[in-house]
Amino acid sequence: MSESLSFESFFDREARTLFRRLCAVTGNASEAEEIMQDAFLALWERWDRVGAMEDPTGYLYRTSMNVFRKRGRRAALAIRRRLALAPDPVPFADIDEQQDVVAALRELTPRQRAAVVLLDVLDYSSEEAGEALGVTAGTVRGLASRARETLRQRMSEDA
Amino acid sequence: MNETRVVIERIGERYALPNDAFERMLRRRDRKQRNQRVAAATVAFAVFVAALAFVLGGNPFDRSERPAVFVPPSASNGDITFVSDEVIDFSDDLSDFGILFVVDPAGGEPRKILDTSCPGETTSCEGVGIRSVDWSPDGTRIAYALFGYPANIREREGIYVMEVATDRVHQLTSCTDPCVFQDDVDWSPDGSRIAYRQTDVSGCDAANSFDGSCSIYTMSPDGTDRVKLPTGSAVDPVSPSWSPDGASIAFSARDGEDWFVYVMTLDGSAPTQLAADLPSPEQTQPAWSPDGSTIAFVAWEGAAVGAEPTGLDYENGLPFKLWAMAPDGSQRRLLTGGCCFVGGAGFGVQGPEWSPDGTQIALMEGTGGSVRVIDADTGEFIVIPGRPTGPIAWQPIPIP
Repeated sequence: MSESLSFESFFDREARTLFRRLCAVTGNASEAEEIMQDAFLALWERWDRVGAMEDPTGYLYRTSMNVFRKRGRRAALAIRRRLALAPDPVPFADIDEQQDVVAALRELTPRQRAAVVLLDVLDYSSEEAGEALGVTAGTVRGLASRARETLRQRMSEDA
Repeated sequence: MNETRVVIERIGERYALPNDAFERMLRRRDRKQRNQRVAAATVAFAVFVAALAFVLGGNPFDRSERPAVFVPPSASNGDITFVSDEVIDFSDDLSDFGILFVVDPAGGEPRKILDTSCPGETTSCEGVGIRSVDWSPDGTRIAYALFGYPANIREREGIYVMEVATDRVHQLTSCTDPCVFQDDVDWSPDGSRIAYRQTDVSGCDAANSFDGSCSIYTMSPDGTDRVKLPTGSAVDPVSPSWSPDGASIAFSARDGEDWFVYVMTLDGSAPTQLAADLPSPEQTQPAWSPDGSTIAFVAWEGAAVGAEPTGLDYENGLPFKLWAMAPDGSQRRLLTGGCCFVGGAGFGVQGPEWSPDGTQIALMEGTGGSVRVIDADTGEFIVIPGRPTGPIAWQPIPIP
């Protein structure tokens, strides 16, 4: 890791990919951006140490998942006008994608989506994913297993 | 690349990161820092006032030694209920709305009475929260509206009633398909009906766009006999509040892009717009005093007249004022105001909630703020213990 890497450069390099993966986890661009912002801000506060790490990207994803875990679905659900609480934003409602894929993802819980992102996209071990999500490795494997099964069933039904 | 990875990446690719993402992050950081400063200043001020009152010979939270400038709630009042969570971290704008606490407004530790955040059947219920709450007139039951269940158990969203003595919970309404959203519960003075706001949208996933789809209903406390109240020309009625005699209801409704407080009889005849001359584009959350002489309501000051608040308004929070007026709109007076605790996610100002004896009003400043107990005559207030995040209600003393 280059010691000269600035936080701004790191942001430019990682933000787009992180944002997309968080969108896949949350199904909501606004929530994904807030989680991404909080994670980057957390790193920025200690950038003198994080910037010198071997793998600041890994630290960024762990921090993102920690933020995600803490807020769960609540923040997005609670974005509220004071006259009435806005209904649950539809996961993936703001994208135009083939219905089968969207429907399959929508059937997963956010934690299931997070589990498959960590295990199948980021190639985390169950232990690493469990640490990021604040659950045991076995729980992560269970979440991912159910998610994969749901995806498989849904995609085969629509095939 | 495995199949799951392909699906995930395909979905992610459909989202575009805003070009000004870095600048947006900086603005979020600035808002958070400002909210922290405001919260810290509020706490410091409350501590200062409490210390000053103590030095001057009174404890503002002690019933037996009432300060000269403000009379805390009397023993004839019950506890104040507020939504919160056991672990709250305001530093990162995270908000938690799943647990109900009660606290004696005259002092004492908040006590948990209901935890909706995870009923036990599933780990996927962690996002569940309470979006409105009200006590039965006899102080033995509490009605509340739940939101946030995942799609596979969405039918659990709806209005519930809990018998406090036994912890027995009854679900009165359910988010079934086609789904409607229910909120703004208000128990009638005789305990025989619960008024609520319902958003008549077609399907659980439809957006609530305030396009004329809101209505006020009443039902029995067992969930039966649901009746839609006619509200005449008032569009999108929300936030119902019964008059003490049970004959009328105050509510907020839209007139164009602005919101006003209305009063009408239960048959829907002649809803009357109140405080139309008040230059606040959004008047909401009316609450009828126990003696029927006064209606308190919240007015938001930040948005332009004739326009909906923008996303930035919500992110920054809006300044509010608490007004009181006679039910005919006369004798209007300003009680208190504040700004701006909600930022990003969370609830705006919650309440007002009258004390059962009608001498005080509770108001939650918004997620990240505090619960004020306000003298209904002077507008002076104290801040009570607890860290609220959401709706509040004032419990009548239960009948033995």
